[in-house]
Amino acid sequence: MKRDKSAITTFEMIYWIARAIFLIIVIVSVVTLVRLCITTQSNTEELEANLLVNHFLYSPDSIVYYDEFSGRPMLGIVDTGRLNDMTLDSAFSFGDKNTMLAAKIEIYDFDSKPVKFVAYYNKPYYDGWFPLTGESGAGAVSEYPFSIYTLYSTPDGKINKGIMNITVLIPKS
Amino acid sequence: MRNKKAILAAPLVDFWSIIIFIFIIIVFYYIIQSTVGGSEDIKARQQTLVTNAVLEAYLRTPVSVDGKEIQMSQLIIDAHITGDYTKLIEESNSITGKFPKYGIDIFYPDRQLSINRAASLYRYNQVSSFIPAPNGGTIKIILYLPYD
Repeated sequence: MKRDKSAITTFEMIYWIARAIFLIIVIVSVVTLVRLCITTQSNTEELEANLLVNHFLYSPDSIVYYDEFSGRPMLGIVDTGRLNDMTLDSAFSFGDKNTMLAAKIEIYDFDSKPVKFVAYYNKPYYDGWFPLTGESGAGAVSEYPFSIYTLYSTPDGKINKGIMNITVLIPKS
Repeated sequence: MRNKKAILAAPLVDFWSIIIFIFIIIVFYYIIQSTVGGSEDIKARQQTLVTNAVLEAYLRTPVSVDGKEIQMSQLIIDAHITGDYTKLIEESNSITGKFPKYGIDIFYPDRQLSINRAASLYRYNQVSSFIPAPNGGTIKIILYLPYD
């Protein structure tokens, strides 16, 4: 009888160790799941960069070639006559002091490497933020590069094939 | 005797608690997965706008044929009329050569032309456009672009 009792106690002790391990797994899982469900920080930087690029590509107030006869922006064609800092700044205005976004647009000819046209959106901040790209932590700047096949118009009205590189800079908060 | 009964019942309770726990984890996993899918959807929609602008540029690309300048969309139709797709493939390849992740499919009423088949590995995002075929039907052009 005595032997039986001690065997039961030993068995129960081993059993409770297994239970304790299972309990730890449950607690860790619950904490992990709760932490996954609660979003304390949402990063919208990439979304903002995409919105800016889409605005450049689609808005008739921006750099897209605008056909006055039909009143339609000709998507996919960049009007190089409008590709300047002033047009870009007025197309997407955040007021006098824009501390949210900056961008650079470069247009290369399709066959030759040298840059044909360059324009900046929010140039003062672009120049200030660019050296801070690649750093981490608060005060650093995120860089979002885009490379898109495009067409561009020349002042004589000719349409050429080109490559448009857009670099969007967004400061990390 | 009572103790013996309890010893037999305990493993059963533990077994069911493990089963229920696994079930809860699976349910939560699917709930979290559906939330992640939402943000991916926003990303894909954003990218569709860029892909659409690229397709417009592709269709408006100026091409020189016999000293005459026409648009790529016209070349797509002409190639179907003449049955000579060499120039169309050559011009399209020159674009996908610079942008290796772009893929283009052209569906004629009677045949399909694929430019840069390797891009099919990245087919996450696609936009299409239609051109009326000269002998009836439509020509469908699809541009594939991966999103990063």
